[in-house]
Amino acid sequence: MISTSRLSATDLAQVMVLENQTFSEHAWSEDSMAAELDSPNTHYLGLWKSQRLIGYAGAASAPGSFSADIQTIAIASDERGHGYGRRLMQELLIWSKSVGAEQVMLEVRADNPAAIKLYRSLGFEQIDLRKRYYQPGDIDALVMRLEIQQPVVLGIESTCDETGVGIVKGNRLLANALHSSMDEHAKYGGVVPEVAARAHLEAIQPTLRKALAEANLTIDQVDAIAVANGPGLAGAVMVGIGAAKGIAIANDKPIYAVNHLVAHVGADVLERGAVQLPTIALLVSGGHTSLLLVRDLLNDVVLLGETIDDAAGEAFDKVARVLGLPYPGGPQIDKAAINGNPNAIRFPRGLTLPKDMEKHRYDFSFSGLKTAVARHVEKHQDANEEFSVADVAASFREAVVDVLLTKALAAAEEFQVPRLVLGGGVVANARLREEAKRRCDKAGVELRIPRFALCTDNGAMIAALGAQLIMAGREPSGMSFGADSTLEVTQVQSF
Amino acid sequence: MILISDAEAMHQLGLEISRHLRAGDLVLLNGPLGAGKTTLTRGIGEGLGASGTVQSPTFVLARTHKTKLGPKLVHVDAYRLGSAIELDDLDIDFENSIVVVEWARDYVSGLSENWLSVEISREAESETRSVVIVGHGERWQGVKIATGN
Amino acid sequence: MLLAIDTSAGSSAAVFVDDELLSFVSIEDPFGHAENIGNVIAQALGEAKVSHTKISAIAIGRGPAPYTGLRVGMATGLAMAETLKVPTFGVVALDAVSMLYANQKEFVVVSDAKRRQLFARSYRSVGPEVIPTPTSAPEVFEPAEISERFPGLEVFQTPCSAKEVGHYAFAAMREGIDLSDTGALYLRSPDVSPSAGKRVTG
Repeated sequence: MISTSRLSATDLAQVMVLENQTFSEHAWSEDSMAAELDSPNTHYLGLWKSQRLIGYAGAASAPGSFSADIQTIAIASDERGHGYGRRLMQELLIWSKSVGAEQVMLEVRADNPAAIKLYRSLGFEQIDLRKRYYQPGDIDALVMRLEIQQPVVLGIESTCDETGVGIVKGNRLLANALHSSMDEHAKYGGVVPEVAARAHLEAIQPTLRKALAEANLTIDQVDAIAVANGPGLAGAVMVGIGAAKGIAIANDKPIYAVNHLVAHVGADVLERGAVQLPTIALLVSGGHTSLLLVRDLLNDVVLLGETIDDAAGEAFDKVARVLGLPYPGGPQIDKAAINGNPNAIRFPRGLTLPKDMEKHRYDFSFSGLKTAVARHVEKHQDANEEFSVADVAASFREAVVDVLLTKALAAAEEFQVPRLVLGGGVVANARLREEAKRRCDKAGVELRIPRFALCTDNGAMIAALGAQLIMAGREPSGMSFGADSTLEVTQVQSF
Repeated sequence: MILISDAEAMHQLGLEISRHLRAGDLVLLNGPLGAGKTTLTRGIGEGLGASGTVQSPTFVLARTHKTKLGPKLVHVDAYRLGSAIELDDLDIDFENSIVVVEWARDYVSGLSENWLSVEISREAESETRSVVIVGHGERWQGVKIATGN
Repeated sequence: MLLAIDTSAGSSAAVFVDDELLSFVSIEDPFGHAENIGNVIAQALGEAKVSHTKISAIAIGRGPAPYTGLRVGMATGLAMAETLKVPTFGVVALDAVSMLYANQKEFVVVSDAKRRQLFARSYRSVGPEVIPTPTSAPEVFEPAEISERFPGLEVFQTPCSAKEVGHYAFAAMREGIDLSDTGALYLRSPDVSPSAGKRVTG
């Protein structure tokens, strides 16, 4: 019974036996092999005949390099000639593709015609020759390369008030076109679904045009279409779905319906060329405040907590209103808070009491905070007393930032995940970013904040998530999916 | 009138109310900022087996949840609207939904002949709320909800 | 080949070659447009045995109609036309339906505007197979107002579909009527006005 499986430190002994048998004086040391198996950037596979290891192979890809290297491959001498080398290589190429590599490189001894033949048959071509590379013996090394065509995906985002069309090629960003109806919403004090949906319909053609022009591509060069089918405003989402389905049918492309929130986490892929997992993800916007534990972007996303009343961005809007400031609240509060004392008033941090830790450990609540600020202001106004808008703004903002980061880092600690990625429009808040950096540095947690255009709602992150699905070999969504305004994060793709 | 001592009690009241709700019902919630309207709706949602978290729909105006009971739960927030909201434009499938509207005070007339009105008030500085539930229209004739503690 | 798309009532698509209807697929559900639009178009193309590559123009129903559903068909048509680089014809739903009654003298076409109101437009016939001349602008009315505003005219409430939209597009091309306006006909602005803040206490 032949099978393959991912190698780990527990397999080290068997691997070393085979390593020494195959490579004798050129064999890697046990420490080197252990480091290879342990590295987050490698993928080592073992080939098993029942309990016996009869082969292994490994590849490595540095995040953001868009390139993978075949590190080693070995088949036990008494098991050669059965196509096992091909099988291991094929799995390594699937892995390389899935991490975004656009090329796979390897070196092979010039005196190993069987291996060279295998690699050529897989599509590798010689690109260089290193003379007398292998010693002793003055054997040349052939440097060979396989080019991988990553999928070109066009993604459509219309879950709220931004119409986004983005194009990616694997993990590479090619275009990110956006049209926002925020100005139309200013007078309403927030997003109005009907206003947003009307704006999406008007923006769809020009935004499509802009994205294709930016990527310098025609629609024929696009391999697939992705669209966010939730969570968000149903009427708005439906405009994006209509457009996406239309493009898919008109140009005979497969279509992928993806989760908008999960896409926010995946946006980091476009920043770095790879998804770094596992990670805690804190997504904060006008419509969402969610804390996620992501072990596998496509298969293992857990909602640790979310707001049980107002989203953080919404709280900013409401408090801005209380303070007589216009919409959108975030930037206005920031402006008002300049020279304000963040510790002037201790506003409540929602759901942080001991009694909340059981049911709402990672949930958020900004309703009490908002009420406290309003009470504070009303009390002073009713008594005709002056109060400092700057202090109130700064103290309110501090309360929001405090509770967001306290819970995010508590999650990182509890789940032993030393990585935090931020997403959503509220990330624009400088105080949040600066405090996140300070607390993460202190806790030894790696902080990732994609550039702002990828943090707010955008089409590129939708395209990126679609690309991840394709690179993992997932089937397209078909034509029957609809909009789901409360789509759960555990459902990355809809059908 | 019902006296509610804390958030948990408000949640329970929501559960109690949910037992009387069916497709086509309209619940109008009124009360000041922080009174507990969303907490009450959360209780209603739990009673109906609603999917997803019941959160403030202020930003999105309406959130739709599937429920185990069958009809959709549509949670509307009229906070930002100054004039009569015509719920029809949110394309709510009224017949097959249970609709709960927060800040509904101004929009009673013209929406429906039947509705359940829930008024929450609180004394300044006090944690206690008082809740008054009144049914309007034939649908609610003779229906008693949470009569006293 | 003209592809006609309409989501003013249900979701429908129709394939025409030179004003000849090759296929018509319709799902009457007044909800579910996003779920259905892809399937009806794909099915219409399939039944007509015509490839998507042969689409040379797209006609879309632009309302007036309930907004959320209306926008789905329009978004689909506009996106298709943009990527195929073919022209789009915007067809007023009431006008498309009016062609069904070209044998009447003067009449009114109405359709559901939600909020217990109706969209309505009046017409005068010119002749069979010719587009009736509109004698009013499309407007929103209370049902009781219709007979007051259009005394003596027969009122027809027939839902629009891709079939009517396609026929109208060909007739308009023959008669030189401009269909380049592809904006949605809402006839109402979003029913929202800015509100005052809300107090917490008292």
